[in-house]
Amino acid sequence: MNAGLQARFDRLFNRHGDGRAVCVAADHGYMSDVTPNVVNLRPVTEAVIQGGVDGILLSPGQAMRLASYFQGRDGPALIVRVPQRLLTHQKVVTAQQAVELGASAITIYLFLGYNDQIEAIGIEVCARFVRECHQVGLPCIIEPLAYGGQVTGANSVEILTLGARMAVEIGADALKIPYTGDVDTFRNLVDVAGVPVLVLGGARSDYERDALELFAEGLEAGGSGCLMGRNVTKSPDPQGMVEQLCGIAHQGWTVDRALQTEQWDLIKLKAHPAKCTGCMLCVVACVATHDDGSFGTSLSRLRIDPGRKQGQHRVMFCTLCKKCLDVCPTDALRWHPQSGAVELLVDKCTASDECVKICPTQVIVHSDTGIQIESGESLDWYPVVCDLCGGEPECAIICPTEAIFIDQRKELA
Amino acid sequence: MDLRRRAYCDRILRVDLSSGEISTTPLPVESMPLILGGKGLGAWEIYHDQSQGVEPLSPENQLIFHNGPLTGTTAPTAGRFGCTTLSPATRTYSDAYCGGYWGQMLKYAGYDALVVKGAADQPVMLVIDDERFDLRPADHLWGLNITQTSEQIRQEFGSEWQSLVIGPPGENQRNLAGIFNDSRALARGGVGAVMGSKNLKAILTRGNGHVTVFDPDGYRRALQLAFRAVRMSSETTLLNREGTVNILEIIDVMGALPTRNFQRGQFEAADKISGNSFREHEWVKDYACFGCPIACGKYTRPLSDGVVIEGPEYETTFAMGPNCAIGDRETIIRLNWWCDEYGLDTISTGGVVGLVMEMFERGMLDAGDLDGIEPRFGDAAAALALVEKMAKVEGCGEWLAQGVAAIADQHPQAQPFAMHVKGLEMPAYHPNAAKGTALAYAVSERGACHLRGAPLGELFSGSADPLAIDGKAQLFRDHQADKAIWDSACLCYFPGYGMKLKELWQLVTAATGFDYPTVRDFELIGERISTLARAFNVREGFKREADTLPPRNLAQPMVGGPADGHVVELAPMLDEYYRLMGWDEEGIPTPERMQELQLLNEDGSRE
Repeated sequence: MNAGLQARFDRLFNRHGDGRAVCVAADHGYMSDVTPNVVNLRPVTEAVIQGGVDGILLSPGQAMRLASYFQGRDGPALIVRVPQRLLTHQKVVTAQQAVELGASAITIYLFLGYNDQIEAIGIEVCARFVRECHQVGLPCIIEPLAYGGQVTGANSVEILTLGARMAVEIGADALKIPYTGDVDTFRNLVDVAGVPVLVLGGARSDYERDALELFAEGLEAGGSGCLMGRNVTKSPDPQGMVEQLCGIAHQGWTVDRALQTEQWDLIKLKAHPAKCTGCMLCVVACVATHDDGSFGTSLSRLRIDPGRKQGQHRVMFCTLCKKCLDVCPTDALRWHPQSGAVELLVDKCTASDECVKICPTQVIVHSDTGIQIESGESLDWYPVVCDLCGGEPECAIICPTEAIFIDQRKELA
Repeated sequence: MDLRRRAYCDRILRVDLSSGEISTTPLPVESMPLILGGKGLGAWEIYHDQSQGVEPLSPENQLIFHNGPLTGTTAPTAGRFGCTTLSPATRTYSDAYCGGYWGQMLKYAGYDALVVKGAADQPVMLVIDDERFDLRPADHLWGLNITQTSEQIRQEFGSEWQSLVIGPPGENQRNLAGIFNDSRALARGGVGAVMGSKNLKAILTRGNGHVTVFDPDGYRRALQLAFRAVRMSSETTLLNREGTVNILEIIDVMGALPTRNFQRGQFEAADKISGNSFREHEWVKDYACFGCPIACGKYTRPLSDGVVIEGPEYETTFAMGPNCAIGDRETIIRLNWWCDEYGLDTISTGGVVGLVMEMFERGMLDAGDLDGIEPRFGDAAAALALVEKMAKVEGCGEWLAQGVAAIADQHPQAQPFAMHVKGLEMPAYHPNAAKGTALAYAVSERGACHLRGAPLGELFSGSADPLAIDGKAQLFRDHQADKAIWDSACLCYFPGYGMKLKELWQLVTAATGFDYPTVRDFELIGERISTLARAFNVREGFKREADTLPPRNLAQPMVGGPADGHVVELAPMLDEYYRLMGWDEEGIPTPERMQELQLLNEDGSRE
């Protein structure tokens, strides 16, 4: 590797001396969707730099306009995207131009899964381009894109892995590649590639944890970082997102640590019924989390009731109102000392039915089996109560629309 | 092998309406790893249990409802179920699928499938309440439409029950009749007519059972990966925002939006009926089927007279809109309402209206044939009048509701532009502008279908040149295998925009414990099931000559748009496809291929 190439490579991958890079891709204005924050990139650029980003991927035009952000000792590395036309492979920027823009690396697509002719031209274009880059000392990041019609559910990982190796064979210095979905297949891909691999983020998930988890798994599999686009640029807090990614990459944070905001001692469930689509995932997840782990709706600790109008659902769950505790004739119900949820001390229970009758949301139900208690007596049934899953309520975690969610509870009412 | 520890119930509920006998049998345990459930189980049942040459509307025909191993769990869209029968519209194997809230109920009640045969003397309803089941008189429901029937049932039984019902078109055994779970339908292929022929007005189900997976920890992990894949997909995000109709404008740009009974591939008012415009002007609330994190369903704001629908879907919008040259949203909503309210398949209904409009304009039908209605393209009032007649099965609606193929049989001069394959009306992608999809229409086992592996990516995502035929046979073969597995595991089409076969494989192996060492081994299930359905059709007499398209696609060049001048060059794609599938030149699966797929024993005997 010549000195210029190595210097640029280190600027990208060795800012923290760990060979890892957290990069943000903001080249979508050219590629896929023109969202407002891509049109006006300055605020996003500033935010991700504040967050400690290691590199930013831009189209040549944006790189020109935003050049000042990359200058100075602590500036992030600039990665330039080669604007390319799908299938015809025409590209409109040279390696020399990218170097003049101050680029530390450049990325080019390798189109896969198309017919042999298209693939052959693509390989040739990439191979020539790598040589062109190396002549001016510019690291070339190839992005294998398995998008063609020959890609199927059964072969997509295989094609990506093969594409990774093809890219390396023609001289790629690093790769940008989608996560394969699981650690094992991605580890294999990283091993096969043998050069630094940056995982890309894909479409944005509303569930922040998704992108972080995907990134952490990519690192676990041996990846060298990420080139994440929409999950950062469309995030309500791009700076925070980059901080989380950097913590995971450079400081060994777990996803949980990265997501840690405030810790609540006590929680409760709340609902936005208007957001409920009626999908029942909460109910089935509740059942699957309790008892023997099987899936169903019967014995759920919460309920979705049809409302008066079409599509108007009512989310019925334990509101921690305390009425059952107060009414129990034998004090068999209490607040759980840790979670603060309703806890049944079954040995004190007489199956009086008082709690079931008084529950305003009618979510206390009869168990479907009897039980023998300490005193030697048998109960035909006992009340099934919401235990807030010990503090991590599955109903709120699985809800796709945040129609039911976790909130802080001030005190044991 | 205890299938009940492997996400199945290991019970098929069998109802003979002629004798009134109801019984249960176990699943074919040895075969389950080969066929999985859902579509696979339906194809297996009808292939092995139904003899050749049965009349579709006779008591001998079986109506098979099936769910899959993932049904009732928290897998994305695990409420889906299907229905397999011999179709009165096509006389082929025919399977239809439906979301809604009935599928998991059958599973929770303890059944992987429900097989109905025979026919009752009087209207009846089948009541399935966990272990208890019986037949009850349904005279008081006969003649009621879908909403009335469903409401009546809810009042009699309570809102914790889910129902499948038919309306007047089903009762009158019309080819366009669907079976409905409230706003969701098993729509295509005349399944409602088969149910009607059995005098079965409704199936009520309530279940309190549970589904136990083989490897709970593995399944939990697979669920996380599946949900993440669904969430991290721009397609599913778009489905949530703009419903299935989000694709209408891109299909129009590609010149593949069938317009005026497929005379054109672009519609001048596409922007008025786009997903964005429905979102902006009509929709007020998202609707999700059971277990669905996407929620592509949409409730409309009430029209002036209170009409509300859950819809329209893309296919409905095409059929009621561009196909009839209707470009206003309110009319499309009203046409959709008639279909949902009375129990018609919207694709086929719109297909009929488009055909009738063209026939009227060409002078092949006159107002006298149509109870005084004079339908021309773009005439909203005429379209509404025709659909009302079909919905109520009155006057000309009686023969219109038999579908495009039946109309063209009566009026042979309309054959060149009768847009159906094997008797099933064509869905919303113009074959001349999407050659891989054209092949799928020609070959699909239930007639013109976009959901049996049509490589729609050629239109959406640039995965291939839509106008080229090279490589399309392979593309379709792969997608067909893929979709057959989704239908057998019984998940909806749409999680597949984020999840790939790998994620489904992870779910299914954890749920069932079946041994599929690689995704490719898993993929073989799909080819096996598609071939089994094909073998059923071959036994019914279908072969190459039936795998065709209307003359409008084969001989009449497209006018305008990117596909200007294109016809479908079907023969070379068919040759290639048969070769790839291991079928002979007549499209008949060879014994060797059947053996490789474990559909025939080595000695040639049936499994």
